[in-house]
Amino acid sequence: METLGSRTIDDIRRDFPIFRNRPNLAYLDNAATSHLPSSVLEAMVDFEVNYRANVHRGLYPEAELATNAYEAARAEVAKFIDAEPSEVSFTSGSTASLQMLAAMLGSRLQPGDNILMSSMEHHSALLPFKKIAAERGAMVTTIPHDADYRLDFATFKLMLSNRVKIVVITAASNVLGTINPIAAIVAEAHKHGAIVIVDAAQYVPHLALSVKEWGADAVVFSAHKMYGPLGVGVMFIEKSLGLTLTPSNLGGGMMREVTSSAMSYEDAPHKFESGTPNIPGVIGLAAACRCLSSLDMANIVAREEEMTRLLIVGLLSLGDVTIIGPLTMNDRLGVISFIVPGLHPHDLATLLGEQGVAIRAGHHCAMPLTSSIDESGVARASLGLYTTEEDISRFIQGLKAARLKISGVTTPRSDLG
Amino acid sequence: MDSLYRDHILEHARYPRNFGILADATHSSRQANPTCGDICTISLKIVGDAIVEVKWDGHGCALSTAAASLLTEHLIGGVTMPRLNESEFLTLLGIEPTSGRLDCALLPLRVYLAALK
Repeated sequence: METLGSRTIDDIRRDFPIFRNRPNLAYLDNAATSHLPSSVLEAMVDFEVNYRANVHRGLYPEAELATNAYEAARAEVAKFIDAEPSEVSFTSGSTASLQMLAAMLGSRLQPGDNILMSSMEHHSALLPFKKIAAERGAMVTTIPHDADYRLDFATFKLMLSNRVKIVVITAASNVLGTINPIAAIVAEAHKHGAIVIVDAAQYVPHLALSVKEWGADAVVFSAHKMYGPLGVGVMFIEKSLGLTLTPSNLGGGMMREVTSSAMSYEDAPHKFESGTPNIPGVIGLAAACRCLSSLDMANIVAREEEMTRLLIVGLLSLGDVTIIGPLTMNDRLGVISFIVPGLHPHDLATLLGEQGVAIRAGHHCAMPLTSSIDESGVARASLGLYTTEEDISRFIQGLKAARLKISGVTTPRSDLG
Repeated sequence: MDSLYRDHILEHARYPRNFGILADATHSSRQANPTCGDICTISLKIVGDAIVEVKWDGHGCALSTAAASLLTEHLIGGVTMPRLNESEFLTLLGIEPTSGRLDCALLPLRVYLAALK
């Protein structure tokens, strides 16, 4: 019997309505988005049907309930990542958080300054910082990875200087599954006075996170990859940095006073939350944190490590499959990208989809990395806490069937363009 | 759900027709789908309004390969058909691609229409 901590996987899966409604679904696309447990849905519906109101505005009982629930959610999320509530702002997701950080920090950049980013960054991190660097005459330099698809830490240390003002780094790669040594990266970067921004979107659903242990200046993640709702995410900003930042997005709910000639902002975190927030989303995110905490992240780590090993061994047993990512289990997630010779990733993903197995194919919003591996992109299977041995077995069997079906299709590659 | 990978699609993907580049092409175009790495070049020899010869070159998934092969087979010996639209082309292919795979199937058509411009 498959278990996660003291609960069986079957029992846990009963908490997720999708598996009742789609019993034939082997869902291995958790790095794209994860499914919702009933507790998250119920918390959101409770708000919508029992005390829906805007927050920080109304003076009637429902508005008080909404504000209290929203701020209680902030406290829960803060506790989940070992932060202070005042350090946690809610946004529409990691992408929005990174855009805001780029805009707020970019104004400090001088011509000739440098931003370091790893080779494995998602477009949501890469693009806003490239744009702001170009606007400010600053440079963006890529920290390379080694042959085992791990960050080249020695080179990173050599790249640091007092011209490096910002380091943007993913805590776990959405393509390679590589987990980066954030605490060590932060410690080195801080020696040179650089601010470190961490993209934790892939990390948070799978490992316990303490922003204090990392020592990072800013950390972002999205609710929907951690069994929470779509359209909501977190921007953690360490409190001393938060004090010095001027908000990039202005509007209602964040101003202390506005006169015809002047304005002053609320304190963090409110000054980073302009307009009406995604209140049910935030309440749902807090419920997702409760769900993860009740299962215990240590149990999730143990279970997912077991499933990751099964997935890697299954792929390697096919003989000719290349895994694009670390082959050792330490510091890697169950996000497994791979290439099957003669089988285009899109053909594979479609054929698996026809068999009820959901994976992702393509460039995974990390084109500089994936294009360097294969211009067609890569296929990716990514697991979640509810992944079963049967899911993995169906994936491997489906892959074999797809390979058989498409055998003999070796597309000519004589493009002369 | 019907598979996209019907026998005729797989057959054309395995043995693509009219592969190559025409040295004496009167019309040609090349396009790529950067999101999946598919690349397609179509070269045509058109005399009057007749397509005398057509070849395609490139690489990609089974769907785009089969689509290019089927398109060129259809065009040879015919008259130029700049109005061949997406729906007519999908009828020619005999499949109904899911939204995520439409670009694969339609790439050769887009290249052909661009070559006629």
